[in-house]
Amino acid sequence: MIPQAFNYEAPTTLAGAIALLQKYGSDAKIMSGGHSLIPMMKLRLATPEHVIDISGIKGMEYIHEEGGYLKIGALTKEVALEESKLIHSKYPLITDATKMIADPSVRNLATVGGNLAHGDAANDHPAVMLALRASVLASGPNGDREISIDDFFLGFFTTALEPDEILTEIRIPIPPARSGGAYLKMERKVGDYATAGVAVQLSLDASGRCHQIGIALTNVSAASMRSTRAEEALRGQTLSDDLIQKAATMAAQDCDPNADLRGSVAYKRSIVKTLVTRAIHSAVERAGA
Amino acid sequence: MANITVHINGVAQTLDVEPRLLLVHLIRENLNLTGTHIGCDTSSCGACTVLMDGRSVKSCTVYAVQANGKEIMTIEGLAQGGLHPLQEGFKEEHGLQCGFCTPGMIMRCVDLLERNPNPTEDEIRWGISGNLCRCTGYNNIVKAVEYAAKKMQGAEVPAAETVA
Amino acid sequence: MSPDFDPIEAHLTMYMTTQAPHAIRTVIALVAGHVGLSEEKIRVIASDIGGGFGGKVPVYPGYVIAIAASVLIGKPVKWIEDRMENLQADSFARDYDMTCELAATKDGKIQGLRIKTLADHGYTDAAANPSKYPAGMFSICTGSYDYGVAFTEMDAVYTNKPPGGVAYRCSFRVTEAVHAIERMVDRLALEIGKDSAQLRMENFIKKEQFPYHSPLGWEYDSGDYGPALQKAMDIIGYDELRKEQAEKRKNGELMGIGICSFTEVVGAGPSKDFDILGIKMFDSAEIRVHPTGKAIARFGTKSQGQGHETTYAQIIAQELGIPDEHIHIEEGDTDTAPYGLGTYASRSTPTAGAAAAVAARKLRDKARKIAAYLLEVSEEDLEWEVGKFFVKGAPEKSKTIQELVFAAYTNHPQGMEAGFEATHYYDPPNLTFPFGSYICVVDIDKETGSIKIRRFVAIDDCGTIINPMIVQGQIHGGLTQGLAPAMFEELIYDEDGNMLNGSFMDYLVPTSVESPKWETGHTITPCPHHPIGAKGVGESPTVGAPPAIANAIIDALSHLGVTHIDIPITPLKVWNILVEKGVIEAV
Ligand SMILES: Cc1cc2nc3c(=O)[nH]c(=O)nc-3n(C[C@H](O)[C@H](O)[C@H](O)COP(=O)(O)OP(=O)(O)OC[C@H]3O[C@@H](n4cnc5c(N)ncnc54)[C@H](O)[C@@H]3O)c2cc1C
Ligand code: FES
Ligand code: FES
Repeated sequence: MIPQAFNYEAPTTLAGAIALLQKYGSDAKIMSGGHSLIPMMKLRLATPEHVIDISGIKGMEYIHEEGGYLKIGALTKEVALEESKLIHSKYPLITDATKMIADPSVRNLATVGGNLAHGDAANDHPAVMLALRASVLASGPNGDREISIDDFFLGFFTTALEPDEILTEIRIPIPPARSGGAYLKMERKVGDYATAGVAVQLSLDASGRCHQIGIALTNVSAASMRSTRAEEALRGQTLSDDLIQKAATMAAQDCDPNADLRGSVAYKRSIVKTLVTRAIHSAVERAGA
Repeated sequence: MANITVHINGVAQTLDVEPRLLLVHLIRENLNLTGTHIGCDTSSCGACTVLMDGRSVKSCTVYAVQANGKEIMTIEGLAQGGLHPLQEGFKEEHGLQCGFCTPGMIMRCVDLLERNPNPTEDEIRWGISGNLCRCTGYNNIVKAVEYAAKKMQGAEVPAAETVA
Repeated sequence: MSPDFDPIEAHLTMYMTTQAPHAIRTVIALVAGHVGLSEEKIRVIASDIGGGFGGKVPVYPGYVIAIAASVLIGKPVKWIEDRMENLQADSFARDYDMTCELAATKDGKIQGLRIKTLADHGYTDAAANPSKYPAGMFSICTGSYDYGVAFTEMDAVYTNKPPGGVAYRCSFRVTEAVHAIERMVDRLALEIGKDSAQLRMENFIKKEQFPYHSPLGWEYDSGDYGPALQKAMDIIGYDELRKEQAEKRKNGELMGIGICSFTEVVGAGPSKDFDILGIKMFDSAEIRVHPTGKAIARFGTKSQGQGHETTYAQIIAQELGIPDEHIHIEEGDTDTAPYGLGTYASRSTPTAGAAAAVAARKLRDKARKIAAYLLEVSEEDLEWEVGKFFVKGAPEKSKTIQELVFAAYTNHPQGMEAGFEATHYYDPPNLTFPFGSYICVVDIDKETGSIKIRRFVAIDDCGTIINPMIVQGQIHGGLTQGLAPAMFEELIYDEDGNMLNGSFMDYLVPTSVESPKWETGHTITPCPHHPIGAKGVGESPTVGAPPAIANAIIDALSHLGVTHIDIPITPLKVWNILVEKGVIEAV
């Protein structure tokens, strides 16, 4: 398994990386952890002429809260998310998902930015970020722009990033008190991409009603998706078992899975329904209802 | 061709490599360190696991150029004046049979124990879940890691109990 | 594999990962002797390079091409196969469609068995079966039970798949045979409403019936099946589990208990019946003890990680009294090792292990003669204690094995051949029949179909246990390899014959997380005809685990009217069944 030959660049500044992207245009590919790109190159599913390794750029690996947001540098590795006390205590949804991504050695190199920028609906972070109502920061020749996560995943392996843009940061609104989240994933074996995955993040108001909720799904549509209908059914409501079931059914109806080795369409929809139900219950519990 | 310097098992090696050369091929073919194995084409098996700056990585999913300036440790570099406690653990607890997965498994576990010196059985099982073993059924690998964990914390480890 | 042809010497050295180096050499000499690859000019060296499990027995087209290339250019050539090529083009284990009928009285006394099989063998048969056994040892399918009549027939068909029929960690089709009978016994239990453990107990061949002549012609050497099953039941707490299951069913929860009480047939085999391409299936050991009492022993087998180095050294140490750390074991080089058919079918201990014991005993006999000479007594006056001969009634008058070996080179009796070497080609009088009982408990998540193995207890009886740790390790590994086809591994083709899962992303090899913490134990019923009573163990767990797991899963669903599910049993299959039975509703 030998990839096609390519030219390798390892810029040490963001500006340098963007300049290279401008120079090489669509013949170039950014590489962060390389754990989506290199496997594709080995199978020659990707054959970029230029690989721009941005992992040496300083200052793009961080996890901290600032100005009402949790900010995660795009080059932050999965392992850092997994080990972060801040994430663990306040964003259990991210911890849940991270632990289910690939395996520990992959997580030592794979980055959260790469996981999103790859635009693969089978990846787990897209749904996580959709549920958390995140936005991403893209840097290009004309400076930075913030893209709402809802506008980021455009379709099958397609994102809103321009060819000369680099994803630099993920911003997640700090959840209010009485918030909780959970990520559940059905997989054929550990390390597998999801048969279906469900991310739920919610907050409860003083009376215990669902104040805000994000529900998003992994690998059951061409691009990672939110189930807005299910969210709306629950927003402002007291989360009875019955209502949760109804919302879960909506999510299952709204997704658009393909039949493949992981299962039939009906199976995947049903898994979505079950996982949405369970994830909401778990999120409510974590919110301290 | 790119000129890189990689510190392999403590020795700096400067070489000209093609950017597409995978780290595992650098290790096996260029440097003749064949303890690191290749078991798949899809980053699935972990036979190729080495340490890069102290963290386990699948060297089939890293380009050699990415290792420029980094410290790589392979199984050959692990024993320092006697077997590493993990190597000893695999030997004592019968943690290997054919040995194909073993170098990768051990390098993975070096990282595991570094971060979690006293793992539970469950943590060990999840910790090695990216490394396939066809022979052992994993029971004794878990025991080997437990043995090493104890030993690394300075405990006297009793010789393996008689089994079956 | 790397053939290295030296055109000047017309000599071919092949470094390869084969399980049967001698057989490979002979095969090459037989087919290419006339073009100069004469057997004395071929050397096969099989070094330590990963597991075998049957896949490394055959001669693959890649070998032939690599050899031809090396001969053609006079340079070493290396043929490698990557994992995707391996999965897509290498021989596969089996694709068996078995139709089974079991006859029994209403109260569950088994009367007869009939199995018809359609077997897909791909574009060419990859089954390296003994010549007389085109369907391998499938006829062990009558299992651990006593009844008079059985019939089995098999149609093998060629298809456009890769070569099929490698005996994957299995003594030639025993996996399939055991799956058939052990599923059928559970089916019968369900049919007549009898507990499946009880039904097995009632039908087991009894200890006194051994050697037992099975309806399909085998002579089972020894067995004591009830205690093994009872032990597994005691360890796992069978009765409590059945109570728990009844409770759970009331609440709509799915839990299952599956048993497999298998009888294996290994150690091929006696030369009267067993050969491969005409070469009899003996195996060999050659022991050479150096003057200082240190030994090298060579074998016709080739360890793939089974620990022959340990086990063989232990056998010799036990028989001869030389400490095992002073015995160097060597296998895999056809220039030095005695001829043998290799390592597969759990045959190494039954054949080469036996050869080691017999060769060691030959040496012991020689040592006795030397001792008699040195101690000036008659041979009958000597007593053997591991490591030395002493004079009966005068234990202070003794000679250690080391002294006797030294004498064999320095002071041997006149007329005796000097040196201390023995070779034995062991031709087993019969096969060996290891057995065991496994019990598996599963919990099923009704909504997703996910299957969790809660516990798995394996009681094995492989006769005399030479090295408990190695035996246990073989069992652990075999169990995970049995879990694989039961729940995960399968080569999936579309209607046009394209493989859909030809990489480790989709060919699902179980990890440490899927693999449960195996619980093992044993009973010991020695083999009556093996010099040290050992039977071979490597394949029992791969053979015994799949039906235990399948039976457990089906048991969890049996109250819904489920009587059978083909392996691998995946959450998807279970979910489909639950929908079909109206237990859950699809969205
Ligand atoms: C065996 C294996 C199993 C896996 N299992 C899972 C799993 O279960 N779930 C899961 O979510 N993922 C899984 N992954 C994917 C893994 O998490 C990826 O590494 C990750 O999705 C991509 O991160 P990366 O840093 O490696 O990206 P890279 O491979 O470096 O890049 C991926 C893509 O994104 C682009 N890109 C990367 N960074 C940026 C950036 N900052 N700006 C713009 N474009 C960028 C690249 O050009 C490339 O097209 C698995 C990977 C492997 C090898
Ligand atoms: S060779 Fe299989 S993961 Fe690297
Ligand atoms: S010991 Fe053989 S693969 Fe692990």
